[in-house]
Amino acid sequence: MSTTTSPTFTPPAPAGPARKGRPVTRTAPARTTSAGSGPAATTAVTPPTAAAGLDPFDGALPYTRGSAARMLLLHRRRDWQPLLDRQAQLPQATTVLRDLVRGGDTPDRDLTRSLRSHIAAVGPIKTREIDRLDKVVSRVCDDNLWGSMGRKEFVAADGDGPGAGKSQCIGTVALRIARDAWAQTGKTVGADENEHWPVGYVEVNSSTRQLGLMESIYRFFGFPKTPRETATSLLGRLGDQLDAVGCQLLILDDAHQLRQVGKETRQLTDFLKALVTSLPVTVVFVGNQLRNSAILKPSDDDSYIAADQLRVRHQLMTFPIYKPDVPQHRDWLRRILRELEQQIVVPDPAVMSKLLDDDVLELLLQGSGGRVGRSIDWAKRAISATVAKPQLIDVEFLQKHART
Amino acid sequence: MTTDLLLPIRPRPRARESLPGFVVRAAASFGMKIGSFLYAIGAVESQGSTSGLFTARHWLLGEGTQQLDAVLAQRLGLDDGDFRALRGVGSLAADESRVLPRRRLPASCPECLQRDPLFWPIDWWNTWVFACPAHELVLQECKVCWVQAMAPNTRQTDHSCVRVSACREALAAQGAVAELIKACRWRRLDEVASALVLFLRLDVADGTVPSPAVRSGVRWIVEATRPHRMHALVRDAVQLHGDASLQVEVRQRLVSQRASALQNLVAGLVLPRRVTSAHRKTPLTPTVAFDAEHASEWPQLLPSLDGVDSSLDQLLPSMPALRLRAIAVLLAMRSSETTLPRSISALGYKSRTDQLTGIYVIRRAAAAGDIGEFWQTCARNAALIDAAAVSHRWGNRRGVLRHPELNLDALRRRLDGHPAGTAGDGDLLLWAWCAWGLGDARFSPTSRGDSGGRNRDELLVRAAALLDQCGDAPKSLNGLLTSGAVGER
Repeated sequence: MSTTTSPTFTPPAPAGPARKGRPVTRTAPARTTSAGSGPAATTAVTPPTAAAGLDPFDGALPYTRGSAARMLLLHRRRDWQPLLDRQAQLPQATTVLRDLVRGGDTPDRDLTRSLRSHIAAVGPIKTREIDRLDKVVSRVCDDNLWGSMGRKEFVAADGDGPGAGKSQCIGTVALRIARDAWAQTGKTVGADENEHWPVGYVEVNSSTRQLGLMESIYRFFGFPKTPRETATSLLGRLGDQLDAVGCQLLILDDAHQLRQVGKETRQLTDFLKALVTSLPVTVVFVGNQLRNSAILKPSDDDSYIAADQLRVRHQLMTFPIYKPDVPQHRDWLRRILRELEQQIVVPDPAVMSKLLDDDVLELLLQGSGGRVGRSIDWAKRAISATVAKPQLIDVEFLQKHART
Repeated sequence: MTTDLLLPIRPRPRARESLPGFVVRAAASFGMKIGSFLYAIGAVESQGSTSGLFTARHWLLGEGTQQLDAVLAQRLGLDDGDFRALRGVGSLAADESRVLPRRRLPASCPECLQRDPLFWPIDWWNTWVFACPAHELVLQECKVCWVQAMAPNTRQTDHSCVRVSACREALAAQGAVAELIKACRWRRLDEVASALVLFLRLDVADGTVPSPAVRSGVRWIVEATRPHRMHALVRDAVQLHGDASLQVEVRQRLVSQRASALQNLVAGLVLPRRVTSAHRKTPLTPTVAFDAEHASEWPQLLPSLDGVDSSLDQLLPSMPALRLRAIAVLLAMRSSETTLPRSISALGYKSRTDQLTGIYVIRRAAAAGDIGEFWQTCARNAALIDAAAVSHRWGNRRGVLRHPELNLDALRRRLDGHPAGTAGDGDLLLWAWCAWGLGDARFSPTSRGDSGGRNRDELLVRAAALLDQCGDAPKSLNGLLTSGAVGER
């Protein structure tokens, strides 16, 4: 594993006793540790770039302060900028943490927590699926610019079950589009005039179907609405508002919840058809088994056309199940884990020496049912467990940390 | 300010925009009606409780709108400066006495609204402002325009303004307002806010004589606007500029329909009846005319009118401007009594506006002194005559000149042998002055079909003959004006 050094990094001067092993970096300003963490925890560990004024962590360990220390959600628009900030700070966090653990010391409690947070935060790792989804979404967005005469398409990101990495992929793509759009227009969130929201991300609420969907969209963007408004009226005035905030892409995650029974299925399908065709944005449905949802399920009634209209307009992006016995699939996973390995910081990198072995990869795929997202989570969990107590990650160790 | 509560679409106030207009625009940016919008953002407690907020007093004076202001600031990011600008604080628009009463619609310019239905300037809530300087139209209180601004999807079409073809007549009638506004001067009375206020300054001393077009424009305003609007305009014009004067004609029919204050005014005034009788023979409806003269003349003449003044004081405690104008009417008529020609109707003017102009000139001549000085007065008055006064006859229904080259200068040149004009009303006017100046009773221009041809030539010959009789006077009026002979006789 290669290590990089920040250009502003100042070699740390030893000051004060470390808990054990070699001392870690200690420079002013000292990080305040939490009360009750024990005498050893009073050791001040400070990122080395703090004094230069370029330290995004403001003298604290990464992932312990500000928005980095709180849960960020994609369906809350106020979290998007912190999410992008967190992504942008990832290389610096990696550098800082790598410098702190370079000595091979056993980290103290705060550093351990920071390292574990870092392992959880690492990503998104460029996978084939992210690349493909990004291309599909970009192409459909471009095509839709000229597809006003009945050619408007939407994207359906379909998976066979949870853990395939659909939400991770679409989240990555969404943040990438938002970051590029904001960089291009110069507009940022919270500007004096209209805010700029190139992407909307909504988790479908299954309780109230059409109205619930519209309410979720309005909630995400912060558009005002009155309680008595119907889904149709909300949809009717949504287009202009989306135009006003510069929205290009509307992502509806967990879209498999958009299903109904009986004649209400038709109403739902009609509504989704209107949603796709009437809004001046490209719609992306993300979910499991979308083929059985109101979006793509063909109608039994031949005279009912709306369902077919929807089916012919979609660009399907499926998330495949990786098979453990297929060498090519293992190679795909190996590539992902290799990148993960390069980004992750652990006190002893040797613990990951067997992570890319065939038997480990086979176990990861077998245990996750071939779902790459689950496999990565499993690997991260195992790596995280080695931070406090270094151990070789092999098949046996993985099985111990498997989540049934 | 909590950022989380800010709406994602936050229009910024425009220059001279009013607070209600701004909120209407903000609501429209979300595709909402103003009531639903205010309810949705938490500015009002229920959707039906917004009607009470739609009054000028609430919006512009901020009466009982603390919650509204707080929510608007929180959700739309408005600061104190924005509120001051939107309410016109520091300008005349925010003066309580000039804000429209409760439940009064703002007067709007239909042309402005056609261009941008969502821009409602703060001036439109001001009782002062009665015309649009950009389009030269009288502002109108159109409920449909306002309702449509508040609710974009409203499909009402029965506008009371000139938007619809049924009101094209009104639009045509407003053509005179163009000249009215040109005769007026727009002034920025305060630098704090950009409230433009319009006032009439028909200053005789400056050499500007109210043209017939201006007269008709004023008349139209009285008909089209409500008395309170007119009252505020006149009052402020008088208060702010002592030499401002105004000519207003109040039609009897209008008075009978309007507020009792105006009815009392007309009913209580005895003196203007003389004017009424003078107009009795005209084919127009009975009219009560109030003519204002230059304000500087008032102090000298007031002592002789003490009785009238006190009675007017009783009648018009709250209408000083009208009172002053009524006094002016009295003065004008008194001084004119002995100097009027034998019969105004003898002039044979079919055009009432020309007749009024003639009366005015005669009155000015009489007021200037002895009738023997008439040449001088006549020359001065000729110089005072505005081009529009003469050319009105050649204008179309909207007051736009079909033959802009026709003016007094052209007519004067014509007298000097430079053919220019093609019609003879202006000639008639000049002949009339000449005749009066010479005391020539023979002149009786009854042959009014003089728009060209033999009659006109005959008139020219007769005019030349009249001028020849002037002795040492110049042979032409133009020469009289330029030779410095004025005052020598």
